[in-house]
Amino acid sequence: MLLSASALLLTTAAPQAATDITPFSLATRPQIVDLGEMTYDWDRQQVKRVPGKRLADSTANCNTDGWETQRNGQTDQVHDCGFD
Amino acid sequence: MLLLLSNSIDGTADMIVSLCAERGEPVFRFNIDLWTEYRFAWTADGYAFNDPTGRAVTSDEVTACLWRRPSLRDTPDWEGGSPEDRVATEAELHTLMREIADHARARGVLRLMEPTGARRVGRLAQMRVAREFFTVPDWAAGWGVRWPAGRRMVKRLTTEGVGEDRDHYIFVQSVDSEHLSPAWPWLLQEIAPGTRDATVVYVAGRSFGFEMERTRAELGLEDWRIRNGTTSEPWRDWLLPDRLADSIRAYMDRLGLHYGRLDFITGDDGVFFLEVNTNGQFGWLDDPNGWPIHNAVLDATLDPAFSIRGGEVTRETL
Repeated sequence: MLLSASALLLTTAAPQAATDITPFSLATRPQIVDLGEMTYDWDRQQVKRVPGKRLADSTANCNTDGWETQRNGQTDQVHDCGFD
Repeated sequence: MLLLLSNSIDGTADMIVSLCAERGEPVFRFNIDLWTEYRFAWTADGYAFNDPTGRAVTSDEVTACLWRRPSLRDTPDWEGGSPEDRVATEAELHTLMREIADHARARGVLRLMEPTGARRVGRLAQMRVAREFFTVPDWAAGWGVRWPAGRRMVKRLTTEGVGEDRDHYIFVQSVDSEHLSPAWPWLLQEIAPGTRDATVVYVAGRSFGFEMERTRAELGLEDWRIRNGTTSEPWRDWLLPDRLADSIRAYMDRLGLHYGRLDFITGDDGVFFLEVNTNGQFGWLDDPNGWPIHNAVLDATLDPAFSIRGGEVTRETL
């Protein structure tokens, strides 16, 4: 159980120790998804694999795996990228 | 016409475009990471986009606008320009997206997802209000404090990237809180005593519940949000306990939100609220047999009742 804010401030803050956790020590670089030859189908305004075309980017930061969709009569693997 | 502000790799945006095609609903998608492929102009009379296929939209034609992650943060390797110009351009493009959303909001066509929702309904505000509706694990935030001993979750107040290149993130994780440096601000929360993670996608009054098939013990996790690549763990439908859907609806109304993904943990001690993400992802949760969540999102996006008016507030009981 955490104390009240006033009680927390009454405690003596020990000086910083070399082993203390700092913010960036908890940071990680998220999963990088290689989009490879994944391309953009302008006609459908969707991602689609088309030989000879590439997205402007080749990687994306994603914190979820791809999920499979079936649309336009085809099965696609798409990503759901973001951090929440 | 629906204007979808997004990026080219967003699967949910793909699905919404597909559903629009099935319904015969006109849509124009702007992918911020492919911005060099579009042409754009804006004068006092309004704005216009063209895409490489010749498809076009003008601001006068926009009858609904959905904010669906138009962020270069998700697609950081877009091509072109010097590093300095890229930084300058990213800021301009992000600001332009906000200007387009503001333009839509002023005309009553910005729908469902509030672009600045995460800023307006911050982590602390959402947990304060949540105490009126749910059980919320104790939390504290601050600095200059040597935190009491014990294992606790560390959360972030923002989802911004950290590090020199802003390409690292501090995901929710457990730490021995007495070892947190008092020199830095922290947001801590007691570890909820539940056994199974659950999440609810709230769309315009409807709640779609899901829970993980395996318990935290079976997964060897203290919190599923610790993980990246979370969709490798299977989820299943969660029949919400009595009155929980009513509580969620009342809670979201108090936050002034039409959309959100709420995280809970469940167990023998009940249901514990963890957080709500105002533009949270849901694609991997939806049922491919009919895509009910995507359809609900599209329905609400096309419904003027779910416009973002700009006067949304978080109402707290003092």
